[in-house]
Amino acid sequence: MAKKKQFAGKKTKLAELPLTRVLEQKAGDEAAWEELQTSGATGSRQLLLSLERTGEKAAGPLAAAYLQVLEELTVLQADLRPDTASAPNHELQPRTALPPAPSLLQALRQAREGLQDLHRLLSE
Amino acid sequence: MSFIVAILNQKGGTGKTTTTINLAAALAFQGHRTLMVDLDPQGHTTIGLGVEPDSFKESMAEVFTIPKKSIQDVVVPTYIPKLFVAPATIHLAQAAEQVYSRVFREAILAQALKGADFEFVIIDCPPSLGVLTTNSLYACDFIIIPCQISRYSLDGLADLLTTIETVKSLGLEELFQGDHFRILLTMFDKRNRVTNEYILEQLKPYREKTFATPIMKNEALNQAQIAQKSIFDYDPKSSGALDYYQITAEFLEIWQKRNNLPEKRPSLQSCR
Repeated sequence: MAKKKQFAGKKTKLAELPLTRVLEQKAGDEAAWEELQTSGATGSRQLLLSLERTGEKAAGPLAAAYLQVLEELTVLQADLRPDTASAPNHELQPRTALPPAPSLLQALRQAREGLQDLHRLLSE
Repeated sequence: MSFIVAILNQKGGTGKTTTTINLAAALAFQGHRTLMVDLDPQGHTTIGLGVEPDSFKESMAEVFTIPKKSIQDVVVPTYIPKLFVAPATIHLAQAAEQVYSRVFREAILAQALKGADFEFVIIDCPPSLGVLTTNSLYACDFIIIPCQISRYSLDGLADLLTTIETVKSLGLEELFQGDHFRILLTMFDKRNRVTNEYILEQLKPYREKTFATPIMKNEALNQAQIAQKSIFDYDPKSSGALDYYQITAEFLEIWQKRNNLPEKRPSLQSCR
């Protein structure tokens, strides 16, 4: 038998540790988020970011990320068109904890700054 | 205030002492006043840089047995400027037995380190999860877990993470989200492809908590022990020296981030 095949089903204590399971779950959520970022297919985007999915427990961090996107867009709208800016929409407050990925927040901020630059260039 | 780091793994032979000595030496070469605390009764960190057991009167055994004894009282210099060691001898094993009856026995080291005048304190822990290790966990700000590429190391890592969670009173999320620890892969041998693949797959969920640089298996690191020198003095061009330089750079980055300090990479030249 091939050496690697003999590893099948052999579990380590580390694999069974609750922390490892939490991290694996998190990695799954992050992978879904990365897939969303790189995916050009509108269909899959709608599937992942549909409001229905925000109600699912497993989509907690994803839902939070979705709401964060909406918040960032609201800030952008207020920056670009202060005359039409409305009071903060409290319905957009994330109800779940944000995913612990500073890179996500950074990417969102960079995206907003990019859009602001684009708007400035188009306005000139 | 000192930044206290515990080099910890209850499994023996994972590279705790080698990591303690070379990380501490690199920090001292960068100009940081650094103290190594030898909590292993085998005393290998003590002799690792040439401090002979008959050259000091008091050691960590006294720190653990004499109430309110400060670590400053037992510190001795090494041959590297700005690098000091709080030495250990085999008497530390007996001292550890005695402290089981003391109240707040987990806090003895933390108390002894109060007011210590060092930028970094690097604690070399014994290969067990007894009272000495618990003391280091209680006192430390950060944990480095040297881990060999082996099945048993993974099991040890699981036990260790559970202990850290308990002693530091952290929840699972907190343990991961806070910057509390890094795993350091040691004695890495690229030729062991099948084992490497399996172990790295198991460690995948912990990739953010693992130093990007593994310490490659390197004979010069063993030879430096015999010469009682840091790897930077013994063979500065060895892969061991370069690996520990990289680890020091990664470590300093963590420290700088924690303290909101501007990012500054250490100089390889100053490590000689």
